[in-house]
Amino acid sequence: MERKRSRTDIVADILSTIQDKGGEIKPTHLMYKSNLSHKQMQTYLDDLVQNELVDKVSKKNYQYIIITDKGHRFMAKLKEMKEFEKAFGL
Amino acid sequence: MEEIIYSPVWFYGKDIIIDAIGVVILSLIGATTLKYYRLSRDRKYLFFASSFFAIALSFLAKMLGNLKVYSLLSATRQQGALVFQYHVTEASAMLILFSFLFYRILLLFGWYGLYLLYHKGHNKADIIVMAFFLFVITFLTSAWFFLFHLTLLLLIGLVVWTLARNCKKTRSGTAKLLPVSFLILALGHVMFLFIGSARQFYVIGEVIQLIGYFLLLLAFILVLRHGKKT
Repeated sequence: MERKRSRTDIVADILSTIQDKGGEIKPTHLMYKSNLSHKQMQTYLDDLVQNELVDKVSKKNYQYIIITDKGHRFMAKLKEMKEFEKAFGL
Repeated sequence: MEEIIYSPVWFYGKDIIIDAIGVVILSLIGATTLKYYRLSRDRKYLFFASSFFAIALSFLAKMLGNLKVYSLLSATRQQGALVFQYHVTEASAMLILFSFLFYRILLLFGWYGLYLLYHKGHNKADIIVMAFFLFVITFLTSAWFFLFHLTLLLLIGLVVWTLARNCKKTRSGTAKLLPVSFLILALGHVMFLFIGSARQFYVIGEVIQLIGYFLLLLAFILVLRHGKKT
């Protein structure tokens, strides 16, 4: 059985899902792709928007979540950290 | 009686340079891991960073002790038939003794921290008992350096064992360098076991440690580079 995801794992899942969709995604798609309930997703999104890692934009009457430059840099740091964790056996 | 000079005369000062390089490399890895802790709030990174900083601080303490000892030894001058000798003040003696005490205690607890990180599942009582024994060893080994280096060898060996198993699991090229670098550091301590019989073993041990730290740095750089690429 897979272990429970940490907060960092969930944030990484959210940001990498947005990156995989070309940098923007609809909230419903994000919810399904990152395996979160609506309430959980809203909590994380509010946190990510506050930390300027993602932004909410409106396009053609739809709301989209876009990843910011800071979000891209954060993901790069997370990947580096995961590589360190894997190599050092932490 | 505490023996504190293991280096042959021609190596005086060179061991300080080697230790300084070790301090820089260990501090770099510790600082990076601390950054990861701030990013993830995962306590294992804080623990890892603390262990590396403890080992780096231990080398700083050793450097301070050696600097004081070597400066006192070089203060003996001969002019004709007269020999002028610097008498060690109580303050100097205390500084030297405490420097080497902190060297032993920080190095033991630094490696113990890494051992605990890699071998989870200990209960609090076991951790406290082990910590007590390490504390006792710190004071006993002022006269018995053999026991000090043997204890370190055991701790480093257990860390190498875990890293080697991790290496098989991850199948990463960069991960292979890590157990090798830690193994070389352990080999340095094997050399230190024999410094009672010949001072040259101290030199060999220091040089081997330097190689180990450079390999550790290389592994660290490769890990970061690989992380940036993926």
